[in-house]
Amino acid sequence: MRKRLFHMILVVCVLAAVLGTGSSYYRFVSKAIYEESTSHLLEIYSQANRSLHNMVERNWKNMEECIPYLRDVQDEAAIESYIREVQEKEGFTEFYFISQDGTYLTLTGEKGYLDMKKQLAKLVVERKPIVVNAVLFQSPELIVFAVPAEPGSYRDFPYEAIAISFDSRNLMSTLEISAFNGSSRSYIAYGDGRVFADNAQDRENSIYNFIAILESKSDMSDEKVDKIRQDFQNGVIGAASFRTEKDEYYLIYEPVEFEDWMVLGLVPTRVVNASMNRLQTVTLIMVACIAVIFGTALMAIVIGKNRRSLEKKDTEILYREELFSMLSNNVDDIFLMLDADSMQVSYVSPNIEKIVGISEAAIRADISVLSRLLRDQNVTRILDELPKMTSGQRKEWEREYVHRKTGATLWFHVLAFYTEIKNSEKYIVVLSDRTGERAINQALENALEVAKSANAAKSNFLANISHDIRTPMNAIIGFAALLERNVELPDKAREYTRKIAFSGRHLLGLINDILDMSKIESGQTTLHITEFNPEELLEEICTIVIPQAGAKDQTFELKTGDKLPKKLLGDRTRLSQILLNLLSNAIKYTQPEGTICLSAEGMESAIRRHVHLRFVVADNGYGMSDNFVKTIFEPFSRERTESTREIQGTGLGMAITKNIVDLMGGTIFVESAPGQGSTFTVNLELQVPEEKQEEGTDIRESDGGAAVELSMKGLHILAAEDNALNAEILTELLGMEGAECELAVNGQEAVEKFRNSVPGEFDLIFMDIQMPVMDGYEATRCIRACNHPDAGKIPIIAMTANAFEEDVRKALEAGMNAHTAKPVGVEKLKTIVAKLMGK
Amino acid sequence: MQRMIRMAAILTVAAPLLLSGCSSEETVKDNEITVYLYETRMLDEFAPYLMEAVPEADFRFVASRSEVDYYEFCQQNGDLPDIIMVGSLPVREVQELNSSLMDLSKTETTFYKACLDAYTDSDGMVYWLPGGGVANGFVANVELFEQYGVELPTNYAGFREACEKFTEAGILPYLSDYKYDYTCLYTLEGCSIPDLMSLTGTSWRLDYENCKTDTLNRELWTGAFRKLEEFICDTGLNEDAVTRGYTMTLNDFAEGKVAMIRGTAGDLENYSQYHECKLLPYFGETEEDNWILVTPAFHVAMNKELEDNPEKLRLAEKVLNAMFTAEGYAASTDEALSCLIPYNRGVDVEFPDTFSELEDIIASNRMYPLLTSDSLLQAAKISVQKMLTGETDAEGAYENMNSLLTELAGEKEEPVASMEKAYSIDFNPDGGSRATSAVANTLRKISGTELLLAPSSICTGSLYATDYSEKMLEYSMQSGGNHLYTCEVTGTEVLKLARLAVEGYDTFNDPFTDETLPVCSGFSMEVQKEDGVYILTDVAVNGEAIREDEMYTLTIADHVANFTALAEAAFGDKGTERFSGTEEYARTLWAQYIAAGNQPEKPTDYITLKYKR
Repeated sequence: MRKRLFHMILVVCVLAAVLGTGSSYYRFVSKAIYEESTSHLLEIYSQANRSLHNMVERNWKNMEECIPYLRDVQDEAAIESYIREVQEKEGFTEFYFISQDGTYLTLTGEKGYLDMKKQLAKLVVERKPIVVNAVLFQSPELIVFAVPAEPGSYRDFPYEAIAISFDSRNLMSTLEISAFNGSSRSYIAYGDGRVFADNAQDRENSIYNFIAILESKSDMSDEKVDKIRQDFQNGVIGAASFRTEKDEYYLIYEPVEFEDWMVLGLVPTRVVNASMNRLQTVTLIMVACIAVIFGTALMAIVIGKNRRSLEKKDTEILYREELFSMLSNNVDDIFLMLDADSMQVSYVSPNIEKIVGISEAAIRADISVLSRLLRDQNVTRILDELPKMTSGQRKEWEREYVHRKTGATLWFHVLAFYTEIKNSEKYIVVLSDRTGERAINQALENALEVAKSANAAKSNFLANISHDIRTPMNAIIGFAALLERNVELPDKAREYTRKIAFSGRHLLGLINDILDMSKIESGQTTLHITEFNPEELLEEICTIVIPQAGAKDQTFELKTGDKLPKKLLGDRTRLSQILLNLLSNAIKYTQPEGTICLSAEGMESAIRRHVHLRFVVADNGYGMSDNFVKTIFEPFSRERTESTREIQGTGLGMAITKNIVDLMGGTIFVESAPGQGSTFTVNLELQVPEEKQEEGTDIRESDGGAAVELSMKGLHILAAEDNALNAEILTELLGMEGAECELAVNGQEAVEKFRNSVPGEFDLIFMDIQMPVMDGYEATRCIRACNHPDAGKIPIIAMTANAFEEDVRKALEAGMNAHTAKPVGVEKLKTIVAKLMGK
Repeated sequence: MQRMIRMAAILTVAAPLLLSGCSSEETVKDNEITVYLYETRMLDEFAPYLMEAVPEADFRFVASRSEVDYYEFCQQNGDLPDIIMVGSLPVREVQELNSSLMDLSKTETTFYKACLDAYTDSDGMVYWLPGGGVANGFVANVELFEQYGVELPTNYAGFREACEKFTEAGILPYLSDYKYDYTCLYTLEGCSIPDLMSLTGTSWRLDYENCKTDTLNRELWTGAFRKLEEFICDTGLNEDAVTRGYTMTLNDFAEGKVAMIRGTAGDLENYSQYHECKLLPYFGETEEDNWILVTPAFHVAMNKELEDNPEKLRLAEKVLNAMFTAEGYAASTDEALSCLIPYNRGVDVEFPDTFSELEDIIASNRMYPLLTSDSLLQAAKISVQKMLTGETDAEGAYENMNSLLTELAGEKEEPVASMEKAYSIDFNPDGGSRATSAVANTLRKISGTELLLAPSSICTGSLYATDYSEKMLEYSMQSGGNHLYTCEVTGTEVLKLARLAVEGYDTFNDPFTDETLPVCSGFSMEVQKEDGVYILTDVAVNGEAIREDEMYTLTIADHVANFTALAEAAFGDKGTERFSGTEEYARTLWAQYIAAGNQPEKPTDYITLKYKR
């Protein structure tokens, strides 16, 4: 704005300067022309003046020269002849003998009267030459030059003066200025401005008083007229210019040096200044053109600059508008501008309908519709708060709104400003949608609670697991100590060894459960879908369970339905794990001589090519309270009652079972009552395989699968194991089976030993996975890649701490043939070796 | 801002419209030119000529007075017209009036400079312009000269000889109306023109006109009176001349009882209807000493207030220029231009045969401009009359005149009446002129008749609510021989007279503008104007149509010539015999009536003028 004002002022100043310069130049040139012209005219009219003066002087002189002749010559004819000669020479119209009273006699004897008025006394009394106007009836106006003469007589006419007359027009011809194409006027005027004579040729009207005409007909100011009047009266030379209705004139005046006459010259300025005017005009045009060009250029520059500036500003505005439009359309903030006086909506961002479900038009029509979206209508309305604001103030509120269309709850942080824009006071209201943030905050709070809960659970778990782990460990360590002391007592040694093995197995089961649980919760558990026979599965389970139940004199019963399919697709292992967990718990939590029943039936499924399986594990054991039933599927959930507090368990089995059932997409629920046993029901939807479905060749160990007996006697085994204890155990176990074991402490060593071995030296390799220098996967790849003749065919068995599917896959991908989880059991080894060696 | 711009735009558009509306109103008045004519006669041709010469002017003509002091009176009452015409111009006595007049040297002119010099004051200003010069001399009955074998004189000796011969023949050689002041003054100056035009005479005259002296030059004027004395003796004038008026003199001339009478070129036409006439100069010792006494036909001045209105001034200057053309002269003189000596270029003259004795004189510029003033006239009248009655000789007459001049210079006229109300001369189509009606009603009251009919020129201007001197009272009315002529007439005859007055009877009273319609009293007229022609449509008495059979007493107030023409037009050749006229002039009766303490009668609505398009 300031810049624009500055530019305007600059342009105005430039224009004013140009105009001022032009005006000054014009005035300067005009003045120069005026001075030059008037000087020129003064010179011209000076010559005319001199001519007139000379003419008057000459006339007077001529007449004075006549006087002696008239005095001396009496002959009238001679006098007449003489005068005629002079007349011819000088061109006067008539010669007069003047009497004292003004009457005249001509050469031809004509008498008359020349009304010379007060000039007569000057002539005949003061004896001074005079020049007067005279008029004779129906004759042109005369100018009479008279000189006093010695009193004489002509034709008996007494005279005291002689005179000659000229036609005033002819006389004025001496003042004729040949220049100026005859457009000049010459006057002889008295000091009071009365015109004595002029050279008006054919004009009827003439000027009587020049100064009076100047006063009435020209544009000359009174001051200038007075000055001219003064100059006339004082006989001062001068020049002026003036304009009449008809034209503009130069006036030149100078005294004639006798009487109070002034010679006046009047010439149209356009005639005098013809060439100068052209020059002035051309110069002015050129200057004007230059000024115009300059001005145009300057204006063009200024305009161009302004335009660029405006374009830039327009672009900036456009950018801002576009930015604001994008933002207002895409951000979750609603922008409102309200007029402070009328509360009319000056602006509403177009995203309002998307955010709160009210259209722009509706808002513009009635801003209060926004308030009606408040979830709590009792809360203070912001529209009511706005008028309380003072200029420049800012206020904030938190409000909960309801989306008009979806009904969703929206949280807004409302910011209001009271400002002034171009003398108009406005409220600017920004409604920022904080619903997401609030949800995040809520989620974070929930997660915090969960984390706290998890932390608490972790602490609880650690507390629990610490006890559960320590318990068998204590047994192992304790019984190991007893064994060490009683090694020579075989019965006690066997008893202690048995108990150590039992505690080890329990500890292993606990560790497996913990690993399973961790894997399930981390989402790493995947189902291995293969085709299996449910009846076979049930038989295997029975073989495991029956002995366990028999140990407690419990009755175990299996019931199967008719519609149980022969083949199903599913994770056999996990299904076994589910049933074994349930049955294991049933056995644990049923008193001796109790009854445990497993029923399995197949039913029609709503899903095509699926069967609905229902497994029910029921017992008449201790049962569970309602409170515990609610938490039974939570980790480490164990009911400590009088009946059950001695029962060992991790507390993770049901949680694992539930997770596996959920993973399979099934359901599990329990019905139980204290002292009345429990009934667990598992429902699963399993797919019935097509006829050509391939059987999976899974050589991975299964928890309930039968092993193939093999003697490992005579086998030369290369074992890569970095842990010395595990290596000792392995070596001892293989030695007990008659196999010879050569150790490598890491994968690199194992590869070297293999490469350096003779073909057939080693029968198989046991490869630990996690080893320094080179892990088991890499060692296996190196062995398989080397040039040893047995590289491609020697069986390599992976020994891992985990039995995850991922571990198995990696092992197989590395080139291993089988996988077993630590701790390694001899029977397991035998089974695996048997399968690999084909025995 | 936008609102200011809109207002500025509105004003820019509206202002010229508003102003043009104002200026339009001003334009209507700008072309109204009021001209006060110095004689009723000017209404005949001069006024119509001006209307034709300057058609864009809206003229208001008033046949007013020729005396300068009347306009001084108007000036005192702030009522000067735009253009003033007067007859003679007493140069010494117009100083006060000149202060309200425009300097005419500011206009371009066709006047000879030498002629205007006589009207230029010491400041170079010219307030009055002279009309053409009217030659004054002796109108000679050529037939009598031929009859009695008397040669037309060519010098004073011849004049004396002619007088002797006519006296012997029982013919009055010379007679004139020395009842009037101007005849006395003309004769006094005329007999001494060579002396008055001498160096002494012109020098004294310059001093007298410039108020450098108030007294007569003894040498000059005693000589003048002596020459007058000689003239009186030679012509046989006696006290009888003092009682003679114009008509009487004219009658004697017409009857061939007088050989020569004083007259002007204008009088030639009148006298020529009786006899062949010639105009003779005032004679000097020799032919070269013969002079013509010249009086300008009129003088014209313009109101200074015209300078305040450029458009009106332009029109007035145009009117002024039109007055001094050949056509203007011809229209103003009421006779052939050949009788007028122009002061302007471009006005050519061809003298008639009646001027044959004057040609050389005119050509040789022996034309003496009359020196006149009111005081000179008054003083000359008394002095010359005393000489004619034998009361004084030349010397005594000079002394008498000189002392009278001194007396009259300091004399101020005392008011004799005071009018309480002012009435404007302006004419209103509904009602007429208030001033004219007041005068007419007053004259009717004076005459005691029921009805009165008069020309509009009976009133010379507005009546002012101020003090009036006797002279100003008389000046309120028409100059010349206007009397009150009364008779009994029928309603039909009233209608006829009114119709003639409205529609014209071939005199200079014939109406040609609204304000020149006649005035009436005791009855009213309804007049229709169509295409410039006036038609009487109705006459009413006391609001009712005049009863044609009823007898009414009627007064006609007019100049004798016009009255005669009207009466004869209405009633035939002997129409005037039905009327009895007052001896006194109507203006004298009016003045006496008002001076007696009466107020003018209230004006009435005497005319309704309707314009028919």
